[in-house]
Amino acid sequence: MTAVIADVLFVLGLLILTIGVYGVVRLPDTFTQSHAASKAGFLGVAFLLISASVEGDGGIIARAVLTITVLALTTPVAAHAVLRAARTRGEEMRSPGAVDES
Amino acid sequence: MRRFVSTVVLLAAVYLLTLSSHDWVDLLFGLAFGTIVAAALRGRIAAAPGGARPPIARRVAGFPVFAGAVIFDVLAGTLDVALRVLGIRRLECPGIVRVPIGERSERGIAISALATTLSPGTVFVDVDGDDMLLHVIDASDPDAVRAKLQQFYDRYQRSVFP
Repeated sequence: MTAVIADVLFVLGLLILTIGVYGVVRLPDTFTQSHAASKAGFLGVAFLLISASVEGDGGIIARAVLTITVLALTTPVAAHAVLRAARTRGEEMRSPGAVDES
Repeated sequence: MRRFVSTVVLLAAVYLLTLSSHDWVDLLFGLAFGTIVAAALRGRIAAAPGGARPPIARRVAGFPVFAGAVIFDVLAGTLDVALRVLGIRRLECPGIVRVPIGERSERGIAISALATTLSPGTVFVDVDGDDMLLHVIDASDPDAVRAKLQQFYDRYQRSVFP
């Protein structure tokens, strides 16, 4: 049963990462692309690590917890830095009906 | 001093998790390394300025609920962004929305930024005056976005990271 759960989580992680990459190609500007790129990376990798931890090996669980925690703290900072730079450079929002209250 | 000690303990915990060890010798090494690193970075780990904070017991009790709400937001947001990426849901009016900082302390702003950015669909862009600027994947109703974030803050974050 744990093997099945691990497989499902692994496939889910790969799927999320793939959708993230597709989003970077498909979405129209830096602002929207950042949603796909950064967050998909976090959740996709988190699922892969949880999948590796399902078997119950203490060492793997400890490192997975550490990695997920560090990713949860660093991924948003990276996304914020990219969007702040894009706004500072005057990057245009090319999405249909884009709202700008800044 | 309390902040220095908690930093040393945190760094020792990271050391033990990295080694995946519960050996007391590793614990001592972790504490020693943690003390060296914390002492070297002492100027950078000064307490963040901020007003009165809720009692520590209330903050500890509220943290799992806050973390659970963030995880739920991450899962729901990922599904929403995935549907928009795949073209199943239309990408409508994404954009930058102003959200008032309100009663948030400096740390509260940082935690709000972290929590909203971790959840797909919203990315913290900057602080402008008394407002936070967030890029939202669906900003067709900016007032609804502001109300949702304020509700999240009031319900889950205020008691833990005001």
